[in-house]
Amino acid sequence: MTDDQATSEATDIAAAKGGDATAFRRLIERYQASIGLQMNRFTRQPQQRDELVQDVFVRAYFSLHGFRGQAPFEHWLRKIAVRVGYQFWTTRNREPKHTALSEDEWAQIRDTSIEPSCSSAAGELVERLLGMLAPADRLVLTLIYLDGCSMAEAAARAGWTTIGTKVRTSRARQKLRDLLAEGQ
Amino acid sequence: MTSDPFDRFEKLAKIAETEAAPNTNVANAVMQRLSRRRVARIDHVDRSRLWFAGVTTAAALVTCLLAWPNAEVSLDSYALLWSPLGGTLP
Repeated sequence: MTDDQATSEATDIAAAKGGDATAFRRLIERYQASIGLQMNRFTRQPQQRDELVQDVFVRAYFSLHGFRGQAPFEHWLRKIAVRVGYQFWTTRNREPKHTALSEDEWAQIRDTSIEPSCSSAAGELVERLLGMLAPADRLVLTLIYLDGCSMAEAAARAGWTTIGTKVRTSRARQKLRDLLAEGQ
Repeated sequence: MTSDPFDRFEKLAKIAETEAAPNTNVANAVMQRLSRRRVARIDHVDRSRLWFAGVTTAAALVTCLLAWPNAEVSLDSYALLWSPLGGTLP
């Protein structure tokens, strides 16, 4: 981000805090694509994803007074996004479980010679795999392997301690390894 | 030697990581939701104010009714004090 962009962003944040809807709209337009990609990790259904993105911005608007500018605005927004997505998973987890992986999907995972046709297909397969884990395990693996977060970043985004995140990651890895071994 | 099944997941995740951002345009929907919530919040404030006004009026009326038996005594002195004839009233 250039200095000009940072200045205009800071101006927009200050104006939005003061109730300027147009300034907040500019912030939405600036970050909706990156938040959209983030929420795509939580659900791949376009309608649900868009609703989650909306939830993130609505929540951000009402918590804007708490943003002190110590970290970049995008980091703050991503923390809200993780909270919204995690809540979505935990709520959905109370509903009847969705179906396990199909034989075709297992075949794609087993056979290392078959490569997914594109990154979107790989994303779908990974989402189905992670969907078999508990929300907390799924979140930590999503943050580390799909969002490319370091352990400290993942902890900060999820609101956990770094040590707790490390332990959770190792347990989640083991659970996924067991699931993959069962499927093979 | 058999490979770690987790390696396959890591490889798939690496490919998925490069996924492009989906086409998301939520600005209008968010602004609509915010304005709806603002209206709902104003309605709530109005309702609270109405309740407050009603309760305070009722409390004032009850106080007046309870104080009525002693009203004559206290009103006399005020009537004399504020009368333009300054205490010439009987």
